[in-house]
Amino acid sequence: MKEKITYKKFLLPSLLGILIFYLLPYLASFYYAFTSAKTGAFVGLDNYTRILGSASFSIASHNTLLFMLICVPLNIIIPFMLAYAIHKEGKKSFIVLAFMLPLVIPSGATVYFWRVLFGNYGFINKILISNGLETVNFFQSQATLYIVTLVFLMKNIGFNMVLFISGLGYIPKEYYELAKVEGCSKWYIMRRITFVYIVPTAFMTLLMSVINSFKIFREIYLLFGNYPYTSVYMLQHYVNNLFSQAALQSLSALSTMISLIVAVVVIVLYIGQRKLAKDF
Amino acid sequence: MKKIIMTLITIIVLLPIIFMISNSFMSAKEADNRYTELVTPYNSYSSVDGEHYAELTFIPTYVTLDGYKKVLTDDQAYLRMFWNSVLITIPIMIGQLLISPMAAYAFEMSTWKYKEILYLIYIIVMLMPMQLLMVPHYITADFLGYNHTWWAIILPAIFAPFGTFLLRQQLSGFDKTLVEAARVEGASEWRVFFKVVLPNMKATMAALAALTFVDCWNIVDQAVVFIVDVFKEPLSVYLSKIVQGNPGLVFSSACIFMVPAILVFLLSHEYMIHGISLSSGRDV
Repeated sequence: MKEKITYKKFLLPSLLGILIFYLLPYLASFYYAFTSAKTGAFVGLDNYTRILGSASFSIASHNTLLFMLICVPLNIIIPFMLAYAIHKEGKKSFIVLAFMLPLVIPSGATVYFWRVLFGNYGFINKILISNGLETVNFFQSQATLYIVTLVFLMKNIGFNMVLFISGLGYIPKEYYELAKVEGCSKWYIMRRITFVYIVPTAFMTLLMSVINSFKIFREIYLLFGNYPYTSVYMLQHYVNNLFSQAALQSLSALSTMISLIVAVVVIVLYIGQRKLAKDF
Repeated sequence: MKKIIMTLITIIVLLPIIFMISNSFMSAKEADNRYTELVTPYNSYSSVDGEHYAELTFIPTYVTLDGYKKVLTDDQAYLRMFWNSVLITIPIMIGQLLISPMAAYAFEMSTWKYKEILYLIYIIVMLMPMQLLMVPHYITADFLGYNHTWWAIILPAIFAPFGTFLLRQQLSGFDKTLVEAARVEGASEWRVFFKVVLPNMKATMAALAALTFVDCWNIVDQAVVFIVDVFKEPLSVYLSKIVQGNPGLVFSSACIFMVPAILVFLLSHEYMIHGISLSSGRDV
C-alpha cells in the first residue's frame, strides 16, 4: 500500500501538467467542436462535415499521408542499412557524429542552402542553363515533395542510425556464430536473427520517424512559406490558416478527428508489436 | 569501397552546414553579388540572358569577419531576439529535466493497474502534430489569461510527454534490485530516487536536455501563433524573416544562431549518443 502512494507522488507533477495543458482543454475542444463559431449554439456535426467537405483539407491530409508513407519507411530502411554497414565500428565513429549534427542544427539556419541550390535562380538551374537546358521551377512543381523528403532524411537519419547501431549491438554474437557453424546462408541469418531481434528497435525508430515527420513542417514553412506548391500543402498549413482565422470550433473538430486517428493507429501498432514480440 | 561511399554520404549530409559556416566569412557585398537574382556591376560577367544565377561557393574570395560584426553591433533587434530565445528555452529545459525523470520512474516502478493505459495516452499525445496540440494549449492559455505571453509556449512544453517516454525506455534496462537494496538500507523514497535512480539516468537525461534544447531553440510555430508582440519573438522567427531578404546578413546571423546548438552538441554528444542508444532496445 505504501508503495502505491509513493509512486503517485512521483507521477503527480507530470500528470497535473498533462491534465491542465493537454487533456482537460482537449475535452473542452471536444465540446467546442459541436458548437457554432458565431452563436455558440449546438450545431451537431456541422463543423466536422464542413472540414471533411473542404477541398484544402482533403489536399492537406492527402499530402501529409503521402509524405509520411514515403518518408517513414525510408527513414527506417536507410538508417538500418547504414547502421548494418558500420555497427562493428561502434557508436563513436566520425560518421555517427556527422549524421547526428544536422539533427541539432536549427531548421532556420540551413534553409538558405536549399534556396541557393533549388531556387529559380539557383545553382542547379545555373548548371542546367549553362549546358543549354531549360531551367526548372523546382519550388512550383512536384519536385517540392522530393526536396522536402531529402531535407527530412538528411536531418533524421542520424537519430535512427544510432538506435539501430545499439540495437544491433544487443544481439548476442553467439547466435551468429552458431548459425555460421550450421552453414546458414547470409540472407537466412539476416532474416532469422537480425530482423527478429531488431523488432523493438525498429518500433522505436518508427515512433521517432512519425514524430519527426510532423516536425519537418518547420523546414517546409521556412522554405515555401504559408502558401506552398500544392504537393507540399500539409495538414499543418491548413491548421495555421484556421488559426489565423481564429476558427477555434473548426480547429477543435479537426484536432479531435486527428487525435482519434492517431489513437487508433497507436493502439493497433501497440497490440501488433506485442503480438510480434510474442510470436518470435 | 565502403569507406569511400561512407565518406561521400557524410560529406553530403554535412554540406548545408559547411556551406553556411564557410559563407559566413564572406563580406556582405560578396554574398549579395553571388546569391542575388539581380545583375549588378560586380556579377554581370557571370549572368545569362540578363539574369544572374547563384554562384555557389564554399570558399569566400575575401575572408572577413564583417558579417558577424554587422549582426552583433548594427542589428539591435538580433541580440534582443537571441536573449528572448534564451529566456524561453531555459525554463522549458529545467522543467522537463525535473518532471520527466520522476514520471518515467513512477511509470516504470508502479504496480498501478491502469498505468499502461495512462502511458498509452502519453504516447498518443506525443505523436500528435504540434499544430494540433496548440488547440488545447490555446484554450488553457486563454482560460488562465496568459495568452500572448511566453508562458503560453513554456508551460505546455515543460510537460510534453516525450521526455517521460525517452527516459522510461531507458529505465526498463535499469537494475531494479538496486532500488530494493537501497530501501532495505532504510533510504527514503526521495533519497532512493535522487541517489540511486537519477545517477543511472544521467546519459539519457543529457540526451533529453540536448534534444529539448534543440527543439525549443528552433521554435517557430508556437511563437507565430502565441506571440503577437514583435519585440517578444524568439530568434528563430526573426531569422525566418531575414532569410527572405538580404543575403548579406543571412549567413552570419544563421551561424550565430547555430552556435549554442553546436556547443550543446559538442559538450554532450557522447552522453547523447549513449542515451539514445540506451532507449533503443525496449518493448514499447
